Amino acid sequence: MTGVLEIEGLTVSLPAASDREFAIKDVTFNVEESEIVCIVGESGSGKSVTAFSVMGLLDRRSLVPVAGAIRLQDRDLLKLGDRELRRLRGERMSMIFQEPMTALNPVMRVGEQIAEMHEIHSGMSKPRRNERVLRALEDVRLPEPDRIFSSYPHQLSGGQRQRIMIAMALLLEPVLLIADEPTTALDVTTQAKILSLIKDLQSSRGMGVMFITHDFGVVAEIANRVVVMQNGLVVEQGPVEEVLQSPKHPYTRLLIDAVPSIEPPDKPAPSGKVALETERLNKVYSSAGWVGRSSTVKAAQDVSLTLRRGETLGIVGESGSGKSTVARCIMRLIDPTSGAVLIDGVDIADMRQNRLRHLRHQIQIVFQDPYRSLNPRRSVGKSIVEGPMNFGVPEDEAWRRAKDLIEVVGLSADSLDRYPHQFSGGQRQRICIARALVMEPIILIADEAVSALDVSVQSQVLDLLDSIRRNFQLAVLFITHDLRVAAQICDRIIVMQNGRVVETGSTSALFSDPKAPYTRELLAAAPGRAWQAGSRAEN
Amino acid sequence: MPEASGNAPSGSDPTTFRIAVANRSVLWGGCALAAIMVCAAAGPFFVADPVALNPMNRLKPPGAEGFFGTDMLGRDLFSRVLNGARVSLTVGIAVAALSIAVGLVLGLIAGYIRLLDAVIMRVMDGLMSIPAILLAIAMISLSGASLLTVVSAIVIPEIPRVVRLVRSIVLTVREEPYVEAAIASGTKVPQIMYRHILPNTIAPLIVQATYICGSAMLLEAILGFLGAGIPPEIPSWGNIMSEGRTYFQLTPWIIFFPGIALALTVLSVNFVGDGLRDTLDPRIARSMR
Repeated sequence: MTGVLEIEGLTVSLPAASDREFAIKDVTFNVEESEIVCIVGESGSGKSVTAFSVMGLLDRRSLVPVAGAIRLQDRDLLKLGDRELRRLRGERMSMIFQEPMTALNPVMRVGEQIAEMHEIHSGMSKPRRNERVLRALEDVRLPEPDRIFSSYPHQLSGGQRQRIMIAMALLLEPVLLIADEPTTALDVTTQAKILSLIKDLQSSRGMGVMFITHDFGVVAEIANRVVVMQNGLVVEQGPVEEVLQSPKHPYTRLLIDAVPSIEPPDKPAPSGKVALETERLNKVYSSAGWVGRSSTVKAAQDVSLTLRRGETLGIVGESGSGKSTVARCIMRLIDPTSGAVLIDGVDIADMRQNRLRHLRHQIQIVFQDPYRSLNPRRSVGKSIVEGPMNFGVPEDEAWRRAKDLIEVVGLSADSLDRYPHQFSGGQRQRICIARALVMEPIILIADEAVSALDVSVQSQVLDLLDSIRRNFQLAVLFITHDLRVAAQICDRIIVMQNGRVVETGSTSALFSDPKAPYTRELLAAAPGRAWQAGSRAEN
Repeated sequence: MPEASGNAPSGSDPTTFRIAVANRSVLWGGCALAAIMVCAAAGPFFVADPVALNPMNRLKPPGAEGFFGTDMLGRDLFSRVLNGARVSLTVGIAVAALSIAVGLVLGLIAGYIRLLDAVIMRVMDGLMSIPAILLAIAMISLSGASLLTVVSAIVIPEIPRVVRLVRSIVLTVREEPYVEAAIASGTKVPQIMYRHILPNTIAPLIVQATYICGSAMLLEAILGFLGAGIPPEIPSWGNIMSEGRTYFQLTPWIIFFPGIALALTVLSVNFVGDGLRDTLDPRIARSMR
């Protein structure tokens, strides 16, 4: 095997006022021909900085490579000028990004965007260019290449756009492909397809792939070798079997242990009082155009569910499945079109806002994005006491409760005087949980509440949610796209697809014997199943 | 990759003021504007009467008879320009304050209450189609020339711009999870507006106010120049230039001095506005640092 990319002692400095001196320090690893190297780490580990330094895309005002070398087929990229580097990008190395939604120009047909690569890098005539592009579209297994060629990005799905990005990146047959979390923004079933596509293309073309991810399931699925990064340092690297089966560094072990198992643990059947019930809940969005052409989208259709106190009910589905719509209808953040929402036996589905306001304390929600869930201009304490004070709790009593709860969620009491930007994502999610609990609700909705968090933080927040469910006898409605998380925390699961419930059942039954074909597809698509099944068998 | 940025922007940060002053254009623009304001406020007490006629000293060049010379009626031009600054600044500040105040209230209502949104915005569309200068001429022919008519003629077409700005901010902020969390914990609508939505509009509105102030001063001068502005017995930069127009080739200073004063004032206001936009908008501020 010959080396495609050698990174040796690469150090990139951070601006003076940062929390550490270097973005990455002394990073050394190789990518060989026909090899997929996965760079794994949590946010802030420096994995993206490494990728961007290779491509020469670092923000030069703040991030400067100060030492080391990046050799692409024996040419040191750090010593090249802008023009030479620009030639190499696309011809020798190319990159695909996390967000397929924003990586394409929305006002240009995708075929032309791909053809632009040839226009810039080779003087090929237009008919030949287009022919090559069509072939590239076939290579990434897009159906009807002719139609796709003349489509605009908004007419394509996320998975299709990511395929376009891959087609564009591979058009000039580079020796190195850098993939920066290319499947993180995609649904699991799409992710599985894109991963197998990348793997197939890589082995048929013999290129080296540097694949950045935070997900050990993905690593198990495609990697040949693994590089684990933490705080800008490489803490461990080696062949994939070695790292996954016998991790040496404690941080690697921590990351692997934090990946929730897809095998659900045994749980007793819940028997609490029914707290929440929905009956044939529907939400239809309709838009009437000026010229009479109206369109309707059925975001939720006939969703019926029951949730008992002390129970965690999961709603699992991919994007567009309607799982968040159901949550928002139950919260009455949006008004359901028809159906009933019974909270403790009272139907709130079309209750007037001023009556509903008095019942709001019974049902609380924790959102996905910890960075937007708290008002940045208000101290944490003020955000927490706002709810109880709306319900007439005296100020000192509300603060006393806030103080108790902030400790329940594992933060110190002096956190109340600080502002949200002084906390990390996981801490903010704890604050949001405290803000929900201070209302003394009977129902807590967690809408993708751990999806934006790093795995190690994710498991802590899940533990917290589980313990407060037990201690407060809460009914928890847990909405997620992640089957592993659902397997660990939910007693029962509802699987949704295109606004409909396709399967309902206890977690263990659903995982061991899925009835609906879609559930089976979801389970099969979860990355790294083989690896976990294998490691469990060995233990 | 969702980076954990430890220093998210916070509007009520006490250092915001210091950062704003550290910006050069805010500093210089602010100093120039402060100097102009001091001159406008105190100057007229130390100079000759701006309307005192002196036919013996008509059309004198800058020098012995007056710092800026005299006009065709022998009035002291320096004194008239200083007094004109009062009119310009009053109009600029009054227009900015009034249009922001009215626009903010209407914008908050339009952005938050869906039923009133369509009504308010269609009225605003209508207002936007009225040209300020024609409106001013119409209002003056109806109710006579005064500071009040000039200010209201400029404010009315300016309001829709503020309403649109505020409404668009409200529409984005009301989707924020922290606003939804506040709704979910039973916060009343006026409190949601005041605590969670209003603070987000302040920085953009300060910037908008400076632009409105600058353009209002220009518009006042244009109206004065057309003879549709402040009545001629009160000197304003617009009507000084208008009166001097006939003698422009003979005595160009009558137009030059008020013209330069107007340009400097509007320029310094716009400097402050540009600088504030750069420092108050966290996205631009981060890329400039």
